[in-house]
Amino acid sequence: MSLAWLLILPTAGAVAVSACPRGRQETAKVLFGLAAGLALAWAVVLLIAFEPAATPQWVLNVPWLATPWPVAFHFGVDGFNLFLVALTALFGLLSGIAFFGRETDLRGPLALLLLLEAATFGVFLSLDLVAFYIFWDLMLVPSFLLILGWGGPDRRRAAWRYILYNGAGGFVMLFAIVAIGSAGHGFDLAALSGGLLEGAGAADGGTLFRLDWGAWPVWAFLGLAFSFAVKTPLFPLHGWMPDTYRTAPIPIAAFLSGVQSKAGLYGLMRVALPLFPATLTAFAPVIAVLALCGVVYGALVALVQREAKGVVAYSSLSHLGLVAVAIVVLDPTALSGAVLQMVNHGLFAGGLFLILGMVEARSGDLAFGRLGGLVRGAPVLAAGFLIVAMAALGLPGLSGFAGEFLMLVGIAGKSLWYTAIALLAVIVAAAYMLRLYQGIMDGPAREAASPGWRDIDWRERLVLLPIVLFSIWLGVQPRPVTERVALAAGAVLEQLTSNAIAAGQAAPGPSLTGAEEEPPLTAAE
Amino acid sequence: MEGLVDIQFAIIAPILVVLVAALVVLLLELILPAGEGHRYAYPAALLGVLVSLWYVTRLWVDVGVGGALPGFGGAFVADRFGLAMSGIVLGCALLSILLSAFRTEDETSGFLALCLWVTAGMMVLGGASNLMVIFLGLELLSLGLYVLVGFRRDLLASQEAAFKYLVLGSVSSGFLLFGLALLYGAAGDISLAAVGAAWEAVAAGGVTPTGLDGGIFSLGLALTLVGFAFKLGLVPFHVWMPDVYEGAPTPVTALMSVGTKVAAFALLARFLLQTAPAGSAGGWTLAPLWVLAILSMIVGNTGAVPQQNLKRLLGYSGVAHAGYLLVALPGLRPEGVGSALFYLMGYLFCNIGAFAVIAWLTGHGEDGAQLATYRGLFRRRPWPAVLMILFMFALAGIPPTAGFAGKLLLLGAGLAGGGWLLAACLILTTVISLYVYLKVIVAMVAPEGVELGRAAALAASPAVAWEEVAAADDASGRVGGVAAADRAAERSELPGTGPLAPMAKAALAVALAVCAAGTLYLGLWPQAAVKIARLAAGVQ
Repeated sequence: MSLAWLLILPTAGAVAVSACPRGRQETAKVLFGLAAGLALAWAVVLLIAFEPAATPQWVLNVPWLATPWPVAFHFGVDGFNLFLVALTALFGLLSGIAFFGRETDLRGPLALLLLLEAATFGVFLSLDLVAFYIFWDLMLVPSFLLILGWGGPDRRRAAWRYILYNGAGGFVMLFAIVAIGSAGHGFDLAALSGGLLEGAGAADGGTLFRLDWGAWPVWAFLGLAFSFAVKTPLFPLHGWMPDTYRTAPIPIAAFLSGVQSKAGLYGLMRVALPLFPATLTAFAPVIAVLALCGVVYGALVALVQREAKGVVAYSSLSHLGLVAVAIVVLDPTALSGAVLQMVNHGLFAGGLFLILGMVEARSGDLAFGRLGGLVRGAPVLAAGFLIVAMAALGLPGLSGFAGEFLMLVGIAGKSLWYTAIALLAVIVAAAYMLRLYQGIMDGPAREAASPGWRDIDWRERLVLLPIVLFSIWLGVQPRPVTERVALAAGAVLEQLTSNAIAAGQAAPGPSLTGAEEEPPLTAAE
Repeated sequence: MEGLVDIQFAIIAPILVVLVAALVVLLLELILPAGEGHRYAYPAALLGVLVSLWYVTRLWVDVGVGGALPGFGGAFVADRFGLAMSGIVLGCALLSILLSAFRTEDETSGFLALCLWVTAGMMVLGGASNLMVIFLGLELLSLGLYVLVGFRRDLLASQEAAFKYLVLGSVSSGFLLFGLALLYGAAGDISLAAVGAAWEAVAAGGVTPTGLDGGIFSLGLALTLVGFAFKLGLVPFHVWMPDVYEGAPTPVTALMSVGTKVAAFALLARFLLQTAPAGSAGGWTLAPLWVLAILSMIVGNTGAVPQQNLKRLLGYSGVAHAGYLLVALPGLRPEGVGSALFYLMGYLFCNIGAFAVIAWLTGHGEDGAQLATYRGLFRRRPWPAVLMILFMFALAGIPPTAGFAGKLLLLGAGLAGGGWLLAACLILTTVISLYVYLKVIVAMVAPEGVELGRAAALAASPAVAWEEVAAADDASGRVGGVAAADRAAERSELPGTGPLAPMAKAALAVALAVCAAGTLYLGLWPQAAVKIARLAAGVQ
């Protein structure tokens, strides 16, 4: 039952907020704060009470369909999703608070944001494929309506692009999922994982040429991968992303880039990897090369953006591409780093969007040519901005570094070429992040900055504070995260290895002891 | 006692009740003083439908699992499959009658009686088990609908629709009758069992039991399926649907959109499951049917894309949904039919719900059929807009609505029956349909700087709205004069003045609430309905 509160609280909050009478803005804000705050508090309780173990905890199993196949709302928390749930709860609250400054009727956006939060919890918690899909689709609806109803200029186009890309991805996933379920093992992830669907013969795949292209598992995997790649997004399926992030109301852009984009990578890790390990291994080079294209392309495009939101949008393409590479190399170190980096990226990408929202609320504009010198008027904002931007570019001591380092170490065990290309992008990241910060904060004050500029108030400080704190904390002490993730990652990869050995085959992917020198991991093992 | 005809009134009790209700509605007009009859006509019609529903549930219990109560020399059978279909049809009739609650006084009784007769025809199709009764049911349904579609004699569009429906419907009836005659000739008997035996004989030896060439049987089968496909609205026999949906009065469109589809699907499913040779599942003989299904999904969804009239859009959507239903049939498995039945239950609520919103808006002085009316509706009238969003999501198959649960089951049935191509087509065209249904939502939700002033004007004065819409129509190349004249006529007759007005609004509100509740209930807790659907299809 304990996990159900994460869905019940925001949903009830959404109903309460939308039932608020017109004009009672303060009541709506209080109700929102109550619902999102309680959900966050509950997520923190889970975070603290979590026992480091490989198996899912607080498992909840509510049957939905018994015939023709059993489908259940089967929830559970393990190292993979524990921190993503916390991230969701955090940004659910912060994005809403960031909305508070707006003059419009807040009931619509706040209620939709709560629904979005509930659906995102559902995606991260689900251990049943159909439930996973249901929440996956449910995420679409509120985000689409939020972009459409409260977005910036050109919102129609952005909303259309968002929903058509993601809707197509979603329906393709539905097809794959029903195909998996029709195979006769049902929809429960635990019952399906370990390459059961691929059959023993598939474990020697290893390359694309030796895959059985006539068999459905290959196509089911491709369907899942397509859907996850669209959601993240990964190159070259990122067509919806720049428009969406630029046009969505900034708190929603923060939630989408900070939290929702992780759903795709999480799906790759939670669904595609355990269900189709051999197929994933065979496709790993393709996915990795495409993702690396995205890593480099995103970094280069971010470098030449004329507008601040575009920089964060394309930097996401770059950062998340690297995370995808780290997932598909099937290495425990890389996998731990991937989860850590997903949390980090949530903090800094979401944080940067929220900061840009604060800048935009004052200047009305985010074009580089019209901003500059804001550090003099807003030293507190500038300090927060600097810390988050440094975390984003991977400065040691801040959150971005540990995740990136673990991923690169893990990837290097598989291919030095991947690492070399990824490192290139890390260097470019420093350039565009500094350009972003300096373009807005340093230099002479431009016209958009001068009149009526004031530093952030207590509400905005409240939004910024947790992001800055966690950026520092996860930079100094990433171990609590990596420890718990390593348990889950080890369990998944071990199951694959044991299955492969049981089938008389070599282990898919590199050996599991590839990066023993990494202190947090050895401690965990 | 083996009589020539074993008359079993018990098994057609639900149909009889509906027919009697139709007569009562007509008689009320004659017995009561002028202007009084219509007050009681609605309660009488609703009561008739409810009593019929009660009989359906009674029979459901009596029949038992997998049981069947045949009667009339095997011409009609009451089994759970037919009863479930009758239940959906009756639900559809109930909601459509609620939607029609603001007819003017002088046309009430005829309208309601026709609705009830059409309903009876649909229920006959649910239990028809020989070729004669199939034709009887189809004609009972069609003849009533021809009149109902053209019921608005003051509207040119309605006349046009009725004419098209009549001509094309008659042709299809001709095809069907010819096909049935050939089947009879090939089988030597009109029962479905005999047709099945003939199919088996033809499949085995190429000669029918009556010694005719197998080609006669195949031709008869093809022509019969063409007749079914016309009623179901499968491409290329769908051309009447958008026009008729657009022109017919909204409650009639609601009735025919769901009721006809349910009846035609029941007919098709029963016909195929009882006649196709066991084991072969129809084999290649049925390949053309699957091609029609794929074409329907593609044409229905792409055809809906450019539509600016919501009823027309829903007409194309009906074509697409006819295609979706067939995804459940490959392999001719009872499980598949159960999935389709569940889908139809959901379709009942979300499709009629969409028409109810149209009727609601029309009842409140806006032209609910035009997409232009929906611009900014979310800010003007949040409740109808929210409900419309729900129904559109359900039609698109997005959780947590009945549409999603139904599509999930259809997909599962298609894949389990070996219909990979059909299932893949279902997914691909669903993506297209997402655009179609979201187009309506976008119109309602998206604020537009320029449009905001216009929306306010629309809310303040319907007259501005009509002019705007007419102008938009002119621009889009439609015959503006006809459209404007139609609209003027429609407006002159809008409710709000008559004695029924508050009741009519209450009836619409009830219909909307039922549709919304049903759409959400079947989406959130589908298990009970799935169980009923599977029991009806004969699966435990």
